[in-house]
Amino acid sequence: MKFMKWQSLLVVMIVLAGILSACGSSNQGNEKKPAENNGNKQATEQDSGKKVTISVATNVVGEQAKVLQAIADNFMKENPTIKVDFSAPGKDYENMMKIKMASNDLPDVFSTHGWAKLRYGQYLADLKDEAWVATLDEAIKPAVTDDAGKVYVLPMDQDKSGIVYNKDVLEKYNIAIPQTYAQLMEAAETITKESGGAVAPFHMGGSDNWPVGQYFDYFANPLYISAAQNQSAQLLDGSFDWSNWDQFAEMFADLHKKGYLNKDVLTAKYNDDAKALAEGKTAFLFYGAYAIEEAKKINPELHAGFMPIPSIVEGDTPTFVGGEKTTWGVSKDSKNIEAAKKFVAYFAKPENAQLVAVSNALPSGIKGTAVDAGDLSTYYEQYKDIRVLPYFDRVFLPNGMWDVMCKNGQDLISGGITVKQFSENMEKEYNRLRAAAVK
Amino acid sequence: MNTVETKKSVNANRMALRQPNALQKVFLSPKALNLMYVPALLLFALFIFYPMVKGIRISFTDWDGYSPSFNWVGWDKYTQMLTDKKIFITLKNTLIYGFGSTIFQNLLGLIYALFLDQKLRGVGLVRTIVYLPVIISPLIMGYIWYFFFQYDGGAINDIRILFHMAPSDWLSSGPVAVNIITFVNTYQFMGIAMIIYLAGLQSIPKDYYEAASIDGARWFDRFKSVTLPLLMPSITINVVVNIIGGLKLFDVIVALTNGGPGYASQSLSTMMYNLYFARQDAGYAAALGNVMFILIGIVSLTLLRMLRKREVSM
Amino acid sequence: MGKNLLKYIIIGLIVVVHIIPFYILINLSFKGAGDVGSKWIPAQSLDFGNFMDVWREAGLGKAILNNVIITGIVLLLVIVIGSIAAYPLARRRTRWNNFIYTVCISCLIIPPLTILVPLYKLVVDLGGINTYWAISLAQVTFALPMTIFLYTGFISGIPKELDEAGVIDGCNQYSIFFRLIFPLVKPITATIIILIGVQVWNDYQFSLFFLQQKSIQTVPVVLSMFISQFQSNINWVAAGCLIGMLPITVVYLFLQKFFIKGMADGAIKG
Repeated sequence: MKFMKWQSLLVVMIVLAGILSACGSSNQGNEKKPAENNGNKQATEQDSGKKVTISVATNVVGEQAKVLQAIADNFMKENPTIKVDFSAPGKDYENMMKIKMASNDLPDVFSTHGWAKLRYGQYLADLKDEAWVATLDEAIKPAVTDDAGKVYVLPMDQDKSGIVYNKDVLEKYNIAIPQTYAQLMEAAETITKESGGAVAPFHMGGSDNWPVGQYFDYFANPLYISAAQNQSAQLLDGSFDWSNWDQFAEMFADLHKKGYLNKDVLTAKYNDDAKALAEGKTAFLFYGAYAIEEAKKINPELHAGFMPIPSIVEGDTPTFVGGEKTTWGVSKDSKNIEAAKKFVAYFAKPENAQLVAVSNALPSGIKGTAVDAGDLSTYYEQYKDIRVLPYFDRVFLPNGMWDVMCKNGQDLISGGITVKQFSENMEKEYNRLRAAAVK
Repeated sequence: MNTVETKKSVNANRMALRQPNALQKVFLSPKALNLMYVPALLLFALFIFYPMVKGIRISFTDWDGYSPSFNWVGWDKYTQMLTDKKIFITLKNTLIYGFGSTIFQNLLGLIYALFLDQKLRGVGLVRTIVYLPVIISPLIMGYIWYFFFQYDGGAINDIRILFHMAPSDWLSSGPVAVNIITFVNTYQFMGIAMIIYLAGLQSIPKDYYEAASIDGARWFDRFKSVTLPLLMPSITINVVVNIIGGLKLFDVIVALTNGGPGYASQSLSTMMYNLYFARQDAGYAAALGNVMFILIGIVSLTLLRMLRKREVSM
Repeated sequence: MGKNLLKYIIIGLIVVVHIIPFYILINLSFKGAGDVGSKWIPAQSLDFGNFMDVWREAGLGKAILNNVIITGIVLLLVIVIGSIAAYPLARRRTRWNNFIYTVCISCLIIPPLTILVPLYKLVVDLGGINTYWAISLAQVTFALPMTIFLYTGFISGIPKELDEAGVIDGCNQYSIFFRLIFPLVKPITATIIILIGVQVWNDYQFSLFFLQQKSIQTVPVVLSMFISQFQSNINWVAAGCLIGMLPITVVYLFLQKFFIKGMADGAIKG
């Protein structure tokens, strides 16, 4: 009896050892091709009879993701030899991609959410030989190509973000669309006074952090970049005098001090911003048109519009921020690079890019495709000549500064730090991250 | 079934009579008993120690968390902690989350257990209801409580407005937010403490109490001299489980405040996460993780040793 | 009777305090996205639309099956490996074994993020992404320290006389464990099933990274796709969360009696 018992123990251990050693051997098998998880499908491109699986990942969720998925389904129907594994992990997409980059385990095709060149650049295959490159809209081309001519991703639409507003609120308080920051502040003052605090001129879901960063990202351009006299060169070469930031931090602190922000700016979330817009509890939001869409889920009758970001420096004009939004890039280590490129090319078809652009209510990234952005079309038409600048932090701040800006902004209005300390923290992290980036 | 059993034991007797061979001798030596934890150690080695050693290496670099290049920076990331102005509040919060939740979970868990260890109708149902929050993921539990403490449309403020009181922005003050987070963590996991205490209470033989009541001891004396000492093993389990859970607290903080306002409610876990993914300072995050590991280790192993000693002396 | 009345009032209070968050959660799961009224106001109708939508959109049926498979494998392995590991640690208290015990407890303390990245790379190299075995073995490893802690404490409480009696009966050290000790650890096993089961069932941090294909994802992972930076559907998440809770609640109700009573039968004794 006892013999049998320790025998069974032995069996357990052997099985375990077996599992472990089995891992070891599959390790060797996989080392040569770390790219993807379809190791069991050895099919190659030339061998068209066999099925190829490509993995596709996107940060997009909800309706927009459904559109992408539907196009991918059509693609599979037309290309029965290619199977698409579609994944949309939601809010943790960026973190997941960072881990995947660290492990050299990127999907064959993935979204780059505005970071095609800076963050994902060295992991992306050059798509310059694709037929669709010639059809790219000129306005978006610089965002996805570099001086050497490398094409990083396919941009299906073009982000063009300004400030969204509740039309009814502006009409009620008789406010004209502000052209300058001073006018915007005047408008805020009027709304605060006349509504007796019931309407917050600006609504900011500070608990989510990124809405705070939006303010800085939006107004850094008119403050430092867009004017004739600007600091872009200093920001790029690292000689920027960070005591200049005091003024900017002060501007933000003033919004809070003067009561222009919602009372719960430190604890509200992004959803609350959309909700406030829907309910007419706020006038302006520092978001793109996506906020209107979110607000309309709550109040379909909402009258909302959008406007460019007012200028700050004397003699400057308003601007938009933008860049690529919904994109597909191909991993340079993809084992099925041909299938992946085919997949991307399918999305570059004008009718498919149009579907994607329409789902975001944004202009298409492909030339000559008119996008019906619904109620917003009139605004795109009205503001078609307004300059679109890239997001400030993507160009002028090293990768990793975004969170510093968000958190310190929040800390500033919660009384944790002073304006001076904000600038000092920015300078310190700017230098650290720059040093780390220039290796 | 029965015949198999007898056959087996006959076999066993026969085996016992036979002289064991060399291999068997090795296996039957007392030391060989340690083989039983080898599978566990193998798993630890593969999935914990190996990644951990790599994690320690990261803490000596300025790696950004994803790109292939990095520099070795020696102890820089450890000395960086000394100049980090936010480290003090973070440590303080972490300790509050750890000790605060441990104290409240144990106190409430014990009180609930004592109360529900009675023959009343419906206690079974009540126990289940108190335990249910354990089953929900902490992130969702955090969101639910966010809906309570929210300023605009929050469940608590709705009631305040009903009574013509001004709504309050509960989570906007750092210290209050820290207390609320401790409360939510306590609320969610006190069910575990309660269940373990209930089991402990029910394992105390009734005649111990009878002996005590003959002595004329009052309820509190009886509790002190009989119940509490015999609950020592349950206390050990609860304290160790709760302190580790509290010091590692993460999801609830993310859902309720995201570590804010500013940095006022962040814990070592959320700070690490933020450093790793948002600030792209993976080296610093790893260094912090190692310090956190040592800190929690010292606290919980000391506690464990203290509690175990009390058990033995019982 | 008067005394009991007070007790029932207290019971009533406890129930109210502990049921309110569930009321809010259930209420949310029945409301539509446009309903921004007070969280207290009951949903206008008992519309199961959210439940049906989230079931379909998230593929919850498949996700629950994945949860069951992974949680089942993990529990089975963790109980076997954990209990056999605990036996020598509880019975042979040598210096070395005390050291091993401390090492096991230390594994309980490791912040998951410190090992996440190297661990992910390891699993990629082993070809374990999107497989049941990798996530299960990882979960087993993270659940083992707690399991060993609980089993060791429990087995230490079993009188040594039992082992001695076993020796007289002609058992060797292994058969003592399997024949005499293992049948006695049932109560703590029930505790472990509940504690570890819930932990594995709800795991998000590791599952998110290890399970990327929808066909293998668990409930917490599929639900996360309804929460993103720009939009979230909290009503669906509430409904999905309630659906995901159901199976484990049933298991809890089934085990509960066993779990408290069984533990009492000789369970936690010093």
